[in-house]
Amino acid sequence: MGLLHWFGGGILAGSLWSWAGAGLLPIAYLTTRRRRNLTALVCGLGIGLGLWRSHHFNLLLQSQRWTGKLSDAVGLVCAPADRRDGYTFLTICFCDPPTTVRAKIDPYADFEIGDYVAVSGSVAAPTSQNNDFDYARYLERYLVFGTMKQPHIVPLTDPPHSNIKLRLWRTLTATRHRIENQLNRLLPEPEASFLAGLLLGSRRLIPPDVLADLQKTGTTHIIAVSGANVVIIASFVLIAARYITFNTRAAWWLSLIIIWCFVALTGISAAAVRGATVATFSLWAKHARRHVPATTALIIPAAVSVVINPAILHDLSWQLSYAAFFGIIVIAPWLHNRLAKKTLKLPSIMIETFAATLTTTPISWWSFGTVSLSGLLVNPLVLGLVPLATGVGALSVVASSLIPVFNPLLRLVTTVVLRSMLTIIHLGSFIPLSWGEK
Amino acid sequence: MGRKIAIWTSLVGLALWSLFGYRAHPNTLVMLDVGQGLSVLFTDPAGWQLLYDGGPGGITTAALGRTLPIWDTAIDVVVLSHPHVDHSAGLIAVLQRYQIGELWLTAPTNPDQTTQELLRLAKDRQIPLRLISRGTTIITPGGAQLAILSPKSPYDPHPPPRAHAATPVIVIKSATTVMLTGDLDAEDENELLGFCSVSVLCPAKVAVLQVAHHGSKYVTSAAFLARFLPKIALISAGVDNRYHHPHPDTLERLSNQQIPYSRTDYSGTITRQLTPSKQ
Repeated sequence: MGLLHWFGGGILAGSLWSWAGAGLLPIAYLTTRRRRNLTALVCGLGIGLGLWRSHHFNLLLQSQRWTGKLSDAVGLVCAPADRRDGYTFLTICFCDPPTTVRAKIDPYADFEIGDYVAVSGSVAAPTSQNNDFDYARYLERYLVFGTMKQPHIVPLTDPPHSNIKLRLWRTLTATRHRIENQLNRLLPEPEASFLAGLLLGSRRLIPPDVLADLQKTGTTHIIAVSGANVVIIASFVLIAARYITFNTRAAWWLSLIIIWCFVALTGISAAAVRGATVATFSLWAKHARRHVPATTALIIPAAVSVVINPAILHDLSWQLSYAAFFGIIVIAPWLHNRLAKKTLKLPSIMIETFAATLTTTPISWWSFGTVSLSGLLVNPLVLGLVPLATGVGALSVVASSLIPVFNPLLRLVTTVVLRSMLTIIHLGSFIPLSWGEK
Repeated sequence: MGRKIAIWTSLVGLALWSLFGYRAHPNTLVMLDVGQGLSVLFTDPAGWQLLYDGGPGGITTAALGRTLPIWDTAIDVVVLSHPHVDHSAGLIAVLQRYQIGELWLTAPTNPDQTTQELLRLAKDRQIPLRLISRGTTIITPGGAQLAILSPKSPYDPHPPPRAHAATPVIVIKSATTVMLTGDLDAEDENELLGFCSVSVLCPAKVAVLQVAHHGSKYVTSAAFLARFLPKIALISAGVDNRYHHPHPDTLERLSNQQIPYSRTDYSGTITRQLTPSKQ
């Protein structure tokens, strides 16, 4: 387990900066008591892999940055259509020229992932509206290198290729839309979009005032499919699977399959993969009866996500998420022990929230110039309701599809739970515990 | 023990607030805070509802969700005043989420993408369409009388159309009188004044006036205010909107006639209980 730890650490350091990798090697050597040379070798391999992957990735980025005019260029819609108020973003992958662009099109255009299209229009380099936001770097995280405004797009009725991966994507997207539509039919707003955020991580339809309340109270993380959401789902699934199969091994496999199906349903977002990797890792450790050090459980999923996409290192939500993880699994137990020695008893959720706030605050200050501590008060109140809301919400989606006669009751119960959460968050947004210049 | 009681009391209080904290009680007019756009909900004494316009987007359904009771999934009549996105775009989400009894509109001569999508959706959901114009009247189940005062015809006689041509002006006589004007333009306002100088369809006074076109300086003239003598004016406008609505000239005209006004950009969603005492 220690070797795995140093291998993952090496990848992260190598991907971040080469000198960080160079610095890690002697630390690995000096802090290990047994098998020093092997540890240093594994760490070095990790650093090498990190360096190679980031170099390879930079070459890929350079080769795909392209601007110019397209005339009936054949492209593939390679990500789910991102529908917003008043417009839709369509991610289109081209082979010739080899690039991927984000096209802004009208909101009712009926394109979806897997569609082959002929595109005409100008591809421009992404430009930011303000100096505080690097739009080009933001898009590169999604491997998007150019933008198009209102291009002429014609669907190709005779697609050049079709493969199982695309068909799977289309099925998943359709299922996701079906769940969202089911929520829209069942619940009023803003509860429907809030529950879609809790269950599927989709936040694009959440009204701006609710998003502002979430940001002010430091509770935005509850609508991102994070480790917490995945672990809640995993726990429900594990309990249900044990009842269904009466077999621990089968229950374990079933949980894993359902967790990753759930991740696929959320659109395989980086946050969901992160959460699922952590959940899988901890499930595996429990199943194999292995003790997994907290830092290893943190480093391995981080290293895997960086190998897949090195640009994610610059992603603010990735940074905040791992900083919060670090706070919860490393700082919080330490705080717990210190407070226990002083015979001070605090609910563990308060300690964890405090630890996560402690580790994420420097990043928030660096990025936004603001610090909000109202989350310290609001998070313990809201997080207590998250499992209830997730459970009731998921149950409502399933039950309303199977037995529509109970819809009025489901609407009432689910809305009351969600509205109570939103009311707490809204009231919390008035707590004057924010500082900053922006 | 005391802490448990406090937690449970708070949770029950929150649940009760969620259930009964809605605004759309019988006989109320709610101007929803939809930013720079317009959406007004009227509920008659029997709970019959009319939604006049849908605001600029998804924000309307959130405002509507907070306004209607949790168990309410239907709206009897939805009115599209004219095909501009700040009035029509939010109706797409409304039609997707609520059961709509009828969709009222004047004939759009040049429907934009949003209106086309709205009409497609209405067709898909089998929502009956009704072209409205001067002379259309109904009595709601709660006894409120609705009359359309403008436009003369649902069809614009002179295409290409003016930007805000054929916006329906609706007068609702319930416990008190309400006038909804959408984005009425100066030409139609003058035509309406001419009509109301001779017609008994027009009320002598209105208690609540929705100020036309977010308080634009070109409408809600002194003559219009003098004719209908509103007791209170409601203005729907977005905070720091780029059109600088409502215009100071319009506010001055209201002040000159000593008509108090409420604005959604200052007050958020505005609720008026329509009782005779408010007249």
